[in-house]
Parts: sequence; C-alpha cells; structure tokens
Amino acid sequence: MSAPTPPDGAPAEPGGRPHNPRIGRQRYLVRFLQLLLVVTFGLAVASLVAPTEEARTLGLALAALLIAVPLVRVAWLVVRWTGRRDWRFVGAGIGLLAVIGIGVAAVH
Amino acid sequence: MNDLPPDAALVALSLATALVGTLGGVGGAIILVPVLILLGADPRIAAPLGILSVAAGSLAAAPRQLREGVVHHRLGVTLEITASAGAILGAVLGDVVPGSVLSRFLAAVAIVSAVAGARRKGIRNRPDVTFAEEAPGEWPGTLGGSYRLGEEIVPYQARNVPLGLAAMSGAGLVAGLAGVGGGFIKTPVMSEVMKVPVKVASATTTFTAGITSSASLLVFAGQGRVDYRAGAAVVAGGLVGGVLGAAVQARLDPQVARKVLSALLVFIGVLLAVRG
Repeated sequence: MSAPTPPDGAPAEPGGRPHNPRIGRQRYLVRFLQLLLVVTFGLAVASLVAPTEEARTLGLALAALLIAVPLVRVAWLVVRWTGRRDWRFVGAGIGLLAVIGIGVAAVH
Repeated sequence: MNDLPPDAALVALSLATALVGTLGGVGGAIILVPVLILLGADPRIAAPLGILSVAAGSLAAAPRQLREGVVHHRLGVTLEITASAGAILGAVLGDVVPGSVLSRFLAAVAIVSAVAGARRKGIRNRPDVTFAEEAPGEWPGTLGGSYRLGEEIVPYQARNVPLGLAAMSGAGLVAGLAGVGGGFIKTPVMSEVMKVPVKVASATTTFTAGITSSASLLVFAGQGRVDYRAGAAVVAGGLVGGVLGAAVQARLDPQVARKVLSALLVFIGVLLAVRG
C-alpha cells in the first residue's frame, strides 16, 4: 500500500511559519469537555439524592446536556473549518445538523 | 411490564455493565439494555436508558481521545449524516414495534455484537518514517491523517466512503431501535471496509456515538419514553464504570477480555431470545 500524503497548500501562520493545524489545536475543546463531564456527573448524583420533583428536573437537565454536547461540538467544528476554508466539511457539518434538526422536527 | 430496578441497583448495574463493556471495547449499553429487559423493564423505556449510557460514555472518553489525536472529526461528521438519519428512523420505529419483537431484535444484536467482538482484528496500516516528524491527527480537507503507534507515526486514508455511509445508516437504525451505541457495527465498518486503523476507527466511533445518541434522545424525549431519574442513575454508574474499566483495561489482555464479553453477550442474547 502506498502511503497517503498530507495535503499541500495549508495556509501559513502570521509571521510566515508553516501552519501546523495539529499542535495544541483542541486544548480548549478538551478543557470544555472535561468541565462538562464534571457537570454531568454532578447533575447525575444530585438527581439521585434530590427529592422526586427536583430529581426529575435535574435528570431533565442532565439529558438536555448530554443531547447538547455532541451538537455543540459539531457546531464548534463547523466554525473551525469555516476559518480554515475547509468548505467540503463545513457543508458536511451543516448537513449533519440539518439532518438531525429536520428529522426530529418532522417526527414531532 | 415496566419494572425498573431501584436507583441504587440501577447505579450498580450500570457501573458493572459499563466496566465490563469498556473492558471488551463495546461500551456498556449492549449489556445494560438486555439485562434491564430480562429484569422486567419495558424495551421502550430500556432503550433510552441505554442511549443515555452511550452519550455519557462518549463524553467521558472524549478528552483522552482528543489528547491522543486519534479522533477523525471530518470522517465522523461525514459518516454521521446517514447514521443520524438511521437513528431517528430507528427511534421512531421503536415506538411502534411490539416489545416482544424489540426484545428478539435486541437478542440478535447482542449475538451479532458478540461475534463481531470475538472476530475483531489488530493493525492493518503500518508506520511510515516519512511522517516521523509530524504531529499525529487528521489532515485538513481530506479523510486521511496519521496517528501515533508507540514511537512511530502511521499514515492512513479512508476508502470506500459510499459503502461506509450506507453501512452507517444501518448502524444508526440499530442504535435508535435497540438503544445501543452501534459501535460493534461502526468500528468494523471503518476498519475493515474503509481501511481506517482500528485505534482511529474506535475513537471516531465513540465521537459519532455521542451524535447518534443526541438524535435518538431528541426523538425519545418527544415520545415521552425517557425516565429522567432512572437515566441519572444510569449515567452516574456508567461514568464511574467507564473510568474504572479504562483503568483496568490497561492491565488486561484485550483478546481475553473480548472473548469473555462475547461469551457473556451470547448468553444474554440467547436468554433474551428464549424469554421473548
């Protein structure tokens, strides 16, 4: 199997250094997801120890969080890819969010 | 028939299934949902609980996988277009299909998952010195990239994308219908059909499982099928079980873990099929 080659023409960083999109690129996303993981666990535990009515509200918030996180992550990727003018995958990301939005709206 | 175990038992069950599922590399939902049904839960209620467990597992694994640079976001987003459509359709069908049919479907899913897990293969792509100086990750504008294997860098390029997209719609359908992550379909499809390295395929599957879960949960919530308090118990147990499983996994032979899990899934699948 011949080895694939990395794409040419990646834009340069300010100052003329070659752009390397893979160094430290997702540190904010990692921190964001770590924070949400702690919040998720906290909501789950709080829902278990809270009285029935509050427990349901906390459980609802937990489910809403778990639904929102992957969709926010896709939206974040679309914004990043837009900045890089990676239009093919901007289209894929928007298409994915549209499929979910239209599909769920059609069902309800 | 809608007898969910008490909260403490649900936490323990979710913790145990997530731990065992993580050891076997398939996640906890594939064991959790059949066991809940065997304990008397309505499959229509058990499926959303399984999907909540998948969503929590996807979130828990994300920071580590992102740091390792093994998630291919472009591939995941592309494949999720058909997978999410399939998941929405599956969640809709799950509300109209009789519970006994759902139980038997889940039995078949558990047995197929057991076979897929037992047959899982190792490394296909090999290290290439050309990429030794490169930071691992996906290549912008493509479905290719590289990942770190020990001290070396391994390049790869996804192939057979149309076939992969078709297969992912089936994986999404199974996820929405049965309340499982569908990783036992997604990872082999990416690895065997699309020629993506297993490590990247597995991490990308975890990312996509979160999106499939979102799509399914949105439908389940609209159908009023989500038991939020039970869901919290499943998520709490699942997160702890997933973390413990990942810690224990490093000390176990993955082949042995997969075979034990496969045997367990066959047992659960047969039991579920017999009891209907």
